[in-house]
Amino acid sequence: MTLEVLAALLKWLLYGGALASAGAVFARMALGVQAGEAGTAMCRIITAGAGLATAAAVGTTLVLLTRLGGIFESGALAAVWLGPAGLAAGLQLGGGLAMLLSSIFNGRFGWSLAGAVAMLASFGISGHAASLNVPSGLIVVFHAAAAAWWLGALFILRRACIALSNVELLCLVRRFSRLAEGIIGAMVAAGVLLILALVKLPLELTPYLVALSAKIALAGAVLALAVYNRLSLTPKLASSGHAAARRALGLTIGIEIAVIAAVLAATAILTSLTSPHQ
Amino acid sequence: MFNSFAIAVALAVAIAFANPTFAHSTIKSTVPASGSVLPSSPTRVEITFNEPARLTRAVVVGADKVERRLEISPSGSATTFFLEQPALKRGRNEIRWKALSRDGHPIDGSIVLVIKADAIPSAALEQDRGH
Repeated sequence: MTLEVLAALLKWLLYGGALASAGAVFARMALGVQAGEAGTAMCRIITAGAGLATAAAVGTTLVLLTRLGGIFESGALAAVWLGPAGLAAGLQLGGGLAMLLSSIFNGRFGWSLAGAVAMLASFGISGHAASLNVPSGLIVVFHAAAAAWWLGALFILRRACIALSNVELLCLVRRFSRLAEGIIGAMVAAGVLLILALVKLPLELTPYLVALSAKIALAGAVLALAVYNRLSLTPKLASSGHAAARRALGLTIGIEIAVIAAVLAATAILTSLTSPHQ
Repeated sequence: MFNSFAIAVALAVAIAFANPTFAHSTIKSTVPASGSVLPSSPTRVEITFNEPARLTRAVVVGADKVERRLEISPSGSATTFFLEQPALKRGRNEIRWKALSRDGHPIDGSIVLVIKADAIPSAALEQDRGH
């Protein structure tokens, strides 16, 4: 495996862990899931996600140093730790550790939230869009935060399809739908703004454009599933056929989570193996 | 709703026009240019990027295949870097460099300089372009 491919793989794990842990923090706050079995399940997701993100951040930094000349190469160390890449890595490590320790030791919610914010802020400091200008970096953070909330909410909903009563599930789904329309809509808008900033006309069939097209297609598939859940399955939860609808909802949410993982893989390829400037 | 739309438009304009230059650093030129045939070792080699970057490592590999580190100045982020007193030996010398682009991409490349005692100094047919 080349170092480039390893860097992309580690980036994928970093994105997955960051969005899962930060998303669980945001979503449980927004959907009011703090106590009980669901709260415990969210704690486990935060712990696993934060642990994965922290480990991947360490691995990503080590691979970057190796590609720049060596882990102990003074020039490489200075370039990474005295620049945006080092600041991003620091936020990922600090944010991941804050969420991890808070979750393991049943700490204060503030630590989890601060860790989640730090983790997501790191994506607006180093990278294609972040290096353009400050507004682009902020939009990346917002885009990632909205995606994280969506993923975290899906974890909660999937759990709820198994654990909650039908009335409680319906109430939770409606609460999610009210928030999702605005948050996911804003996430899509942020994605469009980033594409406008990074992709220049005339369009050329570059590896970046191919990977971006794959990401857009996968994201479109998740959105289509979400719309299907909203328009077809959710109304059936209140009907006499709610048991079947409940099972179907659990299944489609599981598929949504899997496709989001594929979206993150496409994003890792975009940010690691391609460039909008080639 | 109009306020949200106005903010989105303002953001789009800010993004589009705030920084029209790309952030991915590539080699703009080297002095001497890659491929040059020289009668003796230059006193320094100059590497210029199109955007600020951080040059992290430079080594020269001569005809004897032995790798030797070169001192880089300045340290930190810059557009132009100097490799002072490279002391290139007779024959083919390949200077391999690594750098961190402004957008966080690691980049690398090489500069080939041939030292030939009876050579008439010539410019390279093409400049080194690195990655």
